[in-house]
Amino acid sequence: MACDDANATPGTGWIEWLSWLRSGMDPLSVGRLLERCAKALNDAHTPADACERVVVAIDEERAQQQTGLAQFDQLLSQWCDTLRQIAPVLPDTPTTDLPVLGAYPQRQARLTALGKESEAYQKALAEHFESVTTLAEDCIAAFRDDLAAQPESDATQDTAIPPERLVARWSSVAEPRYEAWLDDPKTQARLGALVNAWSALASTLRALADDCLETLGLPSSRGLDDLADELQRQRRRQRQETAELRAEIAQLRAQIDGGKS
Amino acid sequence: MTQAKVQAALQRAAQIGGAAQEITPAEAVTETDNGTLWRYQSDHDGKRPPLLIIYSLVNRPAILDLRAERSVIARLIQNGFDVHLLAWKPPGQARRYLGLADYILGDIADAVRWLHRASGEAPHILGVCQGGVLALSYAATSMGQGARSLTLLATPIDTGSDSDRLAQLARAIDFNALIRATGNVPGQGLAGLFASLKPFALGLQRYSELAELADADDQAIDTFMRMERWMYDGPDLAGQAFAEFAEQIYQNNALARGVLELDGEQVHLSNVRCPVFNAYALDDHLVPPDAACGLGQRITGPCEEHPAPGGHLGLFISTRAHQVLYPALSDWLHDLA
Repeated sequence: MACDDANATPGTGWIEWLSWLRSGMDPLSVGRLLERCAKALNDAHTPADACERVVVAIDEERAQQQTGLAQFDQLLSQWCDTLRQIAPVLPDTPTTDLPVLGAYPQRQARLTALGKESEAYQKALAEHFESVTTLAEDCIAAFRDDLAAQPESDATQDTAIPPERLVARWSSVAEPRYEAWLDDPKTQARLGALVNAWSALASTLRALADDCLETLGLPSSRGLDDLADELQRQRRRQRQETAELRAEIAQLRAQIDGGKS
Repeated sequence: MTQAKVQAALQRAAQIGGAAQEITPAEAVTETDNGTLWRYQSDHDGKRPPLLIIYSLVNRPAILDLRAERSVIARLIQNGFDVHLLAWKPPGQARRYLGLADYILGDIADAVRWLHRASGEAPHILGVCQGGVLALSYAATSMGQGARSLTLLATPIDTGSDSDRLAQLARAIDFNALIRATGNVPGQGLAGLFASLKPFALGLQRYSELAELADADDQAIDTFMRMERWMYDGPDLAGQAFAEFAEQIYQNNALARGVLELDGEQVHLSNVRCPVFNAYALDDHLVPPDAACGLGQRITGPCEEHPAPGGHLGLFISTRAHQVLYPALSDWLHDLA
């Protein structure tokens, strides 16, 4: 799980949740130990890295343990030794590059996808923002040049340019640049990539939320989609049958009219 | 533009707010599966030819009836038509899989059939923007012979040109993936997208003109707020229909290429045999002239093309459109009788 959370902000989630244990109710400092381990997992990038970071976290907590907890300290020490043994055999690549193995394959696949899609969305968003920033800087520079080039009569040190004229000049400078930017195939490709990345991320988040709801026996969006799909099939079938009946009635009417004449 | 004037304009706008009621009174005459058929009241006596307006699934039809003296609906009523509007009901999540075929072969066909039965004659159909695509597709199917004539306003037909910004932006988007994530497509989000195509005219310039409204009459502020609501308070779109429209019309240019299919039936524009009046705006950033023009070469029936100066909205609310375009349309419709 360490890698699925690789993009999360360290120090949030579990760490916050565990903070309530930081009190006299925690003589063994289990809460602090869990907090350190959670932070270590948040900071890890691969399973092997996660294992090593947890060992360091446990060691750090052991060093701060109060005396008189020899058995607990021994337990932690053994756990560290075990993890040290395990770490070298764990893969040292992000879990997004690993196959789905073991139990809950769908959940694993969704979490793996979530990591990849979150990264892709952030990349697409960053590229879009960079492009927007470049456009804005270009417009501002051009606007500055435009103002600097204005005739003396437009503005002196004593008289400011009226706001409505500033608005008109800003629009005349920025609008053609914005439209050229919008018409640029690179902008269109970036916007497409951003929408597609968001769609993929939102679909996976939706599926994960649906998993949770269904586990609790609550209606999910997936379940509602099934119902809507079924309704649509019925609606279409009814429309087609009605059209067939209408055609049949028209044919019969034509036959009757033909018979009369 | 002083701060005090802006403040005064904002306060008046907040008080007036853009009333919910429409300008021209109407009554619901029947329901289709996904829409309500409204009939507009008229002082005219006697039999009038029925005219059915098919509006876009995006936004609400209020733009056709924003203020009395610039109301497309009022203009058509004054010119002697029995005006009906098929107003789409916003789909809930249970209708996220509604497709274009449901709207075209279901609702539009039902509304045309109902009007034909009620009035004893085939109705004229007027399609607006995306509603024009729906109406044109209907007229191009085997069911579509029920239309007496077809009028298209700002309707994208051939989206293959480089000047079609919406088509260009749509090229790289996986719309099926998008609706898998969103279900239905939020109308307010879509409104934000449209506004982002003209952020200066629709943002900075529009709101900077607000100060001028401080001294304007209540009607001007009411119109401003009605327009505001029309622009940003669009209904949600059925996810499937949205994806089909974006893919077929904008990515595949399916209508112009003759590869659009509805419930397995090919939609060929050459099947359109009724007379067509095709109006579009020359500075339309949503439906550029290249996308709207040239229908006459694709259909079998007669076609009149009416390019009009101005932008997308100007086609519905500009003084020129009401002085030139709509009288021309009314004359054309009456001549068909």
